[in-house]
Amino acid sequence: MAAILPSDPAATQVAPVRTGRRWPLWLLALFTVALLPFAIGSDYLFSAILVPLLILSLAGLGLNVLTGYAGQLSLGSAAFMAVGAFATYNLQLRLPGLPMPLAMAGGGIVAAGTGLVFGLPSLRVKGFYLIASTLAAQFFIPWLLSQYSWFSNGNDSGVVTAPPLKLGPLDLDSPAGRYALTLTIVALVTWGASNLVRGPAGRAWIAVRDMDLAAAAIGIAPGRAKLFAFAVSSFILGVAGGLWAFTYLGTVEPAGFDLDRSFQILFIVIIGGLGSIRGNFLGAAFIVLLPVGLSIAAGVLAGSQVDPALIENIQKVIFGILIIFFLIVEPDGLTTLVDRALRTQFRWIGSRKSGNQE
Amino acid sequence: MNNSRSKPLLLLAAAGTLLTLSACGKKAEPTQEGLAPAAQGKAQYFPLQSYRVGPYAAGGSGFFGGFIDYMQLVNARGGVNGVPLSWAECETEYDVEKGVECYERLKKSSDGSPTAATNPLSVGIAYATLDRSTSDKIPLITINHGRTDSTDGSIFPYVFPLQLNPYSEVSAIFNFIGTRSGGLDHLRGKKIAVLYHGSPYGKETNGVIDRLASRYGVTVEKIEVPHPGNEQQSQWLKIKQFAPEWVILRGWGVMNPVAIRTARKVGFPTDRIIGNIWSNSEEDVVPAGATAKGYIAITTHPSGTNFPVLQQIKAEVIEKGQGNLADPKRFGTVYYNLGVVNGILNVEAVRVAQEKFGHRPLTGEEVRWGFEHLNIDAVRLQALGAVGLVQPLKLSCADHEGGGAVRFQQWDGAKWNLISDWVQADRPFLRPIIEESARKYAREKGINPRNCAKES
Repeated sequence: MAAILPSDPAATQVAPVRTGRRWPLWLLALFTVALLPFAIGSDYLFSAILVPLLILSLAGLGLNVLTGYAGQLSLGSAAFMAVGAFATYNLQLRLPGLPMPLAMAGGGIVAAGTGLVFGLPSLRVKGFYLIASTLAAQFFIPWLLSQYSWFSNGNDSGVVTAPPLKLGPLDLDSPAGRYALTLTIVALVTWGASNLVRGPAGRAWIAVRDMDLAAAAIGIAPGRAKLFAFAVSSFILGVAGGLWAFTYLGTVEPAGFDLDRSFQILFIVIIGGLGSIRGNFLGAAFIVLLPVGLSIAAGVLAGSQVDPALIENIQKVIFGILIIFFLIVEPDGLTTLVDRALRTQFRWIGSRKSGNQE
Repeated sequence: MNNSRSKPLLLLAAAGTLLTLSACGKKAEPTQEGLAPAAQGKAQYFPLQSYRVGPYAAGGSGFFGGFIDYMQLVNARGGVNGVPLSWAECETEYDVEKGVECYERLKKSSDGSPTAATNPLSVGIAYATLDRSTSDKIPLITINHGRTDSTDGSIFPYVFPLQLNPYSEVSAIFNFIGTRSGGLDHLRGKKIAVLYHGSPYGKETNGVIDRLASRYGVTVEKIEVPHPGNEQQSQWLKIKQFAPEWVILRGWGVMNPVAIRTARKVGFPTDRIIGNIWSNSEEDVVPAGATAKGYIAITTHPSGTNFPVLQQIKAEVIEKGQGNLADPKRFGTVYYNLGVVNGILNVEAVRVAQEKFGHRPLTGEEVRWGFEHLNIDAVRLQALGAVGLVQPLKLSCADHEGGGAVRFQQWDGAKWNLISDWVQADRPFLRPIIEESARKYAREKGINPRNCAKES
């Protein structure tokens, strides 16, 4: 948590921005890993592990753009996800024939617009005060979405059900199909975002994050950079929200995007590493896989003899201890830990890759 | 520099996308095929998406405790026609994402025993696993709750809001208030406040409450309590201002005792509060202490331990030290008994289906047939030792609810006392609303309704 405290300007400067010198080979390895599940082909792996993992990684990326790169604190991530999810749903519902990827992009754009509005206070306030503004979004938006039944097409329960997933002639309404779609969209958005943070926009964000006065002095407009960060961040979160509703749960309800979800995304970013693309994926893996792993392990180890409620509580304790442990070992996040491991233990991988540019 | 790097990236991304998309088309079929072959395993398997921690732990541990104890009783007596029951548990904390993860984790048993049905005991989880259950061909049982329009089995073949769907619940409460006011036509001009849990479960009835209100000429004020409902001062002040004749409490978990206590604090009479089907347990009134005296709630099944089936569980499961409850004092409470009722209905569906498909572990598809042909009459209830615990129930392709009747009970400070006979919901009035909503769902999802007239 200390990493996001704004009291000291240097505190937000937790991690330097990585330049992706070894990208192509990294990417090849990633694709192999991404395609591997198709060889295994288990519903559980697809629908319960990989899809939420990818979506939460994307959400982490969204917050990381804002907090890790541009240095603006936010507790409204889940609200922007909700905007994306409901906008995607309504676009598909009210514009029949609109292809699903366009509806999702549209959801992202609506979320970006919302993010822009709630980002306006960032022109005047910083740090904790900005948290208050984003927290307002977090409380206002789910309330708005559940208050007016227009958003959920008049469904009493406030839950909307995603229509079947179809992309032209392709029927993606299977666990593997949903995974493939999620993977494609997450890969595309991640690629776009990583280009953005390495370009002029990213440099402007980092300059503003590290010292906005100095940034203004060298000709960067801090206000514009901040608002652009809010828009991009909310766009990514909106797309993640759309995916959450459409490819993961199949239902949308405002309560699913509560403050807990915002905290979850914040933890992903902090544990994974602020100001890093890879860190989001590591952080999401930690947050998604560890509780599931603990729960399965507890089921195997304890059997049916021990009180199930006790086992549940022990898992929560272990999870909390592990979070503290990793933050003590490496306050800059898992990505730094991985970097260090690559530099020392697995030097041979690193050296081979850096020699190979193509 | 940037450009030269992004070109291979782009190519790779495009190639990968194509590969993935083509692969998923091929892979989609075998995953579904895996479920089709007839049952191979040796037991009938129930995945249990239970919850024993969090704000709703009382409901979850009681319900699943009763459910598991009943299955243990069945096993102790040699199973269902010789087929033993097996189950596995996964903690959901009443959380939708965890519930989905648990559904996917548990939907296939580890030893190949076929899955009978899922019972998530959460409207949110039921909504999220509805499509999955349907495509996996596993019945989704939402006893006394769930998505109301899933009562229409022609559009929701795998979903069963057994006994009492949310609309019936509200309609029965209106009928009860009508009787108390000297007839339904005396309701005109009366004021009723509805205090509901801010969740899909709580909101489910908002539309039908408006329809009932305009039908009977009642003024209704609906007030939401955000989940989990630890603080309700402002809501009750609003109720006080509105000054209704009755308050319908549509609560869940910790919200209920807080509501009862806050009502007393603002001076609203407790015996004018009617709790719904998830505000009717001992765990809802005991924490409120003496203030809960006089509180009324509906129930589909009384609490108590005098039913023969409960005595059998006591003798053959609990006294052998195999009971599932951490606190044995909760034996015979409302949630526990609901778990037993749920166990009876699930096992009866398996039994009915076995008569058609043979005395062996059945697939979810076959058990679904069993649920649709459930017909529990007085004779069967006698044999089950559940007279007065389970209401007579007859399901069909078109009707996945079956009963639709409740009784009213009042808390006297120590136990629940029944204060009414069975009060029936106005099901003919509700049916068109349900069908309309189901048809809208079918249109949104592109579902072709089954023809129930042709189903055997």
